[in-house]
Amino acid sequence: MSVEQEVGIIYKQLMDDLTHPYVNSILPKPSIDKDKLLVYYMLFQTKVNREMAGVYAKSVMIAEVGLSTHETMTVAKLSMKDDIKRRQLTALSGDFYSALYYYSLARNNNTRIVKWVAQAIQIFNIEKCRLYYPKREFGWPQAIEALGSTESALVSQIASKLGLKSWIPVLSDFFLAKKLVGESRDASARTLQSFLNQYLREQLTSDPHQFRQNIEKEVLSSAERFRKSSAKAEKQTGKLADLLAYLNDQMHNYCRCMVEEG
Amino acid sequence: MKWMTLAQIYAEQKKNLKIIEKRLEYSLEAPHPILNQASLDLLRAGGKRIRPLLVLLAAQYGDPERKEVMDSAVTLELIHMASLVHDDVVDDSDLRRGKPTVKAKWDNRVAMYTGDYIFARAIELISKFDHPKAHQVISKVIRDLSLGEIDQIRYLFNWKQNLRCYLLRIKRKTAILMALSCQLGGFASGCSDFVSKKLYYFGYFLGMSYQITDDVLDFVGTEKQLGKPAGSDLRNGNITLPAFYALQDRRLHDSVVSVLESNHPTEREWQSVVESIRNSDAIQMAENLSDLYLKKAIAKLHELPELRVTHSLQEIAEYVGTRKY
Repeated sequence: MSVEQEVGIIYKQLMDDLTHPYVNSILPKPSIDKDKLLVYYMLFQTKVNREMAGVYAKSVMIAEVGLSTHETMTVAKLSMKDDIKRRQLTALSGDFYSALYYYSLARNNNTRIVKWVAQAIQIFNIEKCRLYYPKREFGWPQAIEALGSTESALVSQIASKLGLKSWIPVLSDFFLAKKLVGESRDASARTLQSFLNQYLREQLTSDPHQFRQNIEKEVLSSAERFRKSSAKAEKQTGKLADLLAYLNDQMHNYCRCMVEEG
Repeated sequence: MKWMTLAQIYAEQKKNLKIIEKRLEYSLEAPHPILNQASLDLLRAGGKRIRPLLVLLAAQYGDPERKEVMDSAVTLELIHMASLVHDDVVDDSDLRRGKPTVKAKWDNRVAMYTGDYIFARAIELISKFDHPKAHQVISKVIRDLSLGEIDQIRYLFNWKQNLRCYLLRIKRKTAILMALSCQLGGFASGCSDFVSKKLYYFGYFLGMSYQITDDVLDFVGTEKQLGKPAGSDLRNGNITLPAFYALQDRRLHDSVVSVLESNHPTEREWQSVVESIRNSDAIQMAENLSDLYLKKAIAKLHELPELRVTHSLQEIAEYVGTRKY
């Protein structure tokens, strides 16, 4: 079975764990970053067997889902009952998912990883505040740096704790580029835009053309940094060589899509 | 054996509670000014600290000097605080204990970040506790707490729900955290599973009574005592025990259903329904059920070794039954 197939099975288990019939009848199903799931799975395999790596990868992804659910929280005053209910369930389902990672790891008697994830969640929330509520006005580079930190807060912490610090820049730039490509698509589609998209536009540039250009520039810069840090991390052997190859392919695809769509 | 009043129990635990306040303050420190301020505001808003107190008291059945006892007490208060910040977003509340809520002072997103941050601090702290069973119990309670909150939303304005549905909801919303406080006090102080389980049930019955009393007070309390208009639960569509009993009363049923089903009931209609529930048998019936849970809590205490703390826990149970706000 290929790694992608193994991750497919973990993905299905993860979706089952996250199922709550009532919540799912009101809110869209939580979206799961399959790249991140695969990264966790392979990082954990450097220390434990496949089965446990799957359990840990799934648990950490549940925590990621909890945080990303809360990221969809809105701030506008609401008056319609259905809108209010959606907001209430956004808060509560995020809490439910956040509780599940601890529940899942406690059942496997692994409080060490519980601690790592709890520390990473703290970093994530501090970085989010730094991004959206900066102590002083900041510009594009600072916003992108803070965005990069939030996107890879959990995965960087896990890599660090697993003794894979050289992987942190690789993962940070990969997930930053991926996020920016997503935001770029969101901006082009002109559909309902994320809070981040609106925030970046309001704070940094209201000109849509300029906004898109800035995003593209940042994607290419992070892709370049990714290539350099990948070269350094290439000395890694075994499973992680496969991971590096996978991430390189994905990065190539994301950059190509962005250029073609542009 | 000499009985202590609630004030004496708090006075006896003053030193420990002071340490807990310090530990809470340290745990809530954050390297971002908004996160830091939001957390400190919560701490300074105060509270009865009933959960840490229960941990401290339950720990007296074992060795209360173990460091895990303080860690457990701080963890439970942090979990409680984190849930309050998110509850204020869910309930769209601008005031808590007379002070602006995090979501009112900043916004919903800051409230999400603050709650998640505090919750993560709690989990990090308790992760040091080398007790697999305790982690299984704590994590299950945290999961069930959120399931209880989701159920509360699910059954809003649903006047056809049954009593079991209400009881399960308050079990998850309130009782299990009190039960956990007592059980964790047992685990942390090295009590046997047998004693810890008894402590769990004492906390559970106490918590059920506590929440029913809260639900009664929401109807019979004054706006000044409650810090919000009487009958707020019903106005928000939350069918609590007095409203449930009122729905069983043929004389009240139609008027309660009518406000719950109306798209825009007037203030006068709300007041009238709240007033009629307040003056009905529904309040006494709810108080009777609360008393029944208290009796069960006290009966559980009789199954525990008879120590001085047993009387303190009984005093707390009696306070829950007689509190006015």
